[in-house]
Amino acid sequence: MMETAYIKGNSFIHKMDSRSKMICLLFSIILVFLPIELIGVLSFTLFMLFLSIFCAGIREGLRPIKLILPVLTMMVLLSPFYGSEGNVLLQIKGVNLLYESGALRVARLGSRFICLTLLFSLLIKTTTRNDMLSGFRSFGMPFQAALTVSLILRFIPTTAKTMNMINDSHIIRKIPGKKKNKFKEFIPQLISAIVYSLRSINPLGRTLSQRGLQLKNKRTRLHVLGNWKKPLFEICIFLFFSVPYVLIFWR
Amino acid sequence: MKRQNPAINISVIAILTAITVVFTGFLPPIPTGHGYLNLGDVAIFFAALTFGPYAGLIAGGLGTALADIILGYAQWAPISLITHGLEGLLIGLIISLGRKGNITKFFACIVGIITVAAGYFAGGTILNGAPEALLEIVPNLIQASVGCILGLIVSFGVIKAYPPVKGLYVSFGKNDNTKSE
Repeated sequence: MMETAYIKGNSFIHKMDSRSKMICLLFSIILVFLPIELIGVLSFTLFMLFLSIFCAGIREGLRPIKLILPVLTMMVLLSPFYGSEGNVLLQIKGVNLLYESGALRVARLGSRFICLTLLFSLLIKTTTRNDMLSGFRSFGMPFQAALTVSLILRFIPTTAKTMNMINDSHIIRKIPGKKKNKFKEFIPQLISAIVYSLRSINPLGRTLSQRGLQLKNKRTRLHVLGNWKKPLFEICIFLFFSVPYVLIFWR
Repeated sequence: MKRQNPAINISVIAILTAITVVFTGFLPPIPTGHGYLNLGDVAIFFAALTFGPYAGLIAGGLGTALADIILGYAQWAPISLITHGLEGLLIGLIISLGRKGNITKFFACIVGIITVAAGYFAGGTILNGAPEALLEIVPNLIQASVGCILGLIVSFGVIKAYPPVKGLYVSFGKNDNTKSE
């Protein structure tokens, strides 16, 4: 069961503070949408690809690209709809299939899409669940919201296991030789799984109350990150490289 | 609406969001050219119909966004968060504010379906451009419609099989004296 997408590693991105990673991600997203030259977007995408492979290995580093490959293929196939000005680059039997403007727009949108995908996957693959939550908490996320997220992450594998368990029990109950009605079999499975999961609400609520959820002196605390020195230094380094990049490639 | 115990509110939201993540990501999602079709909408409709707008908002938005992140479609997570969150909120609001009846449920379903299609069209246009986003409208409409029908059936079935669920409606009253850390 995939509970978290974190990949253990020793790269400098792994060592970065989760807060600076989140702020750098935000800046990078803004950067991707700025009006910069196509060559700038492409070079940033290539850099992100290199970083992704460097931090997560070739297989995991390229996995996000593999996932979005169908979308990219469709974008290339639909390129005439993205623009029909300029020179015709591809013509089959008198039909103009690819124009210069369409190709350039698809290249820009495609590389932006790849870049965004790599940015998000890099954050998730190099940050542990606890660090991520502590990062959100330090940005002012209320205690109860952080607690809820940590409970959600705790209950995802349990709920998935419940679904599998109920599915298996329904398979055992099936009468051999009887004609299958997938829909009729599927709905009771869903209902059973939901009811089974909902039954844990009251015990969980009681546990939270016992741990002092509504009290000032709570008996449970979330991990707290250190001061802002390190993240500020990391953000400054990011800006040191990204500001000249924007100035060079600004349209 | 009677104020619910905060511990119960957190528990309900956590469990419902986990159910939404599992329905979205782990019940065999059907890959399409643009992403994947899933049963997340069943869980969102169920949460909003049974537990109200707050549960629909949080379980819908957070659940689908987390599923996107876990499955590797993280770039869609902000769009899913807003679209499905809004879907859950609107369905829950219509159900809770409107008259109890099939017409209200039908109207809530239509609003939910339109919200999903419009939200993903807007998000897809930002990410991939309008022509690509246009192709997603029909699959999204189908996914949301199936989710709506199954959500109604599941909601009815769960209330019948587990009546205490009615007492777990998520509500935050004005006199909520819960203090944060």
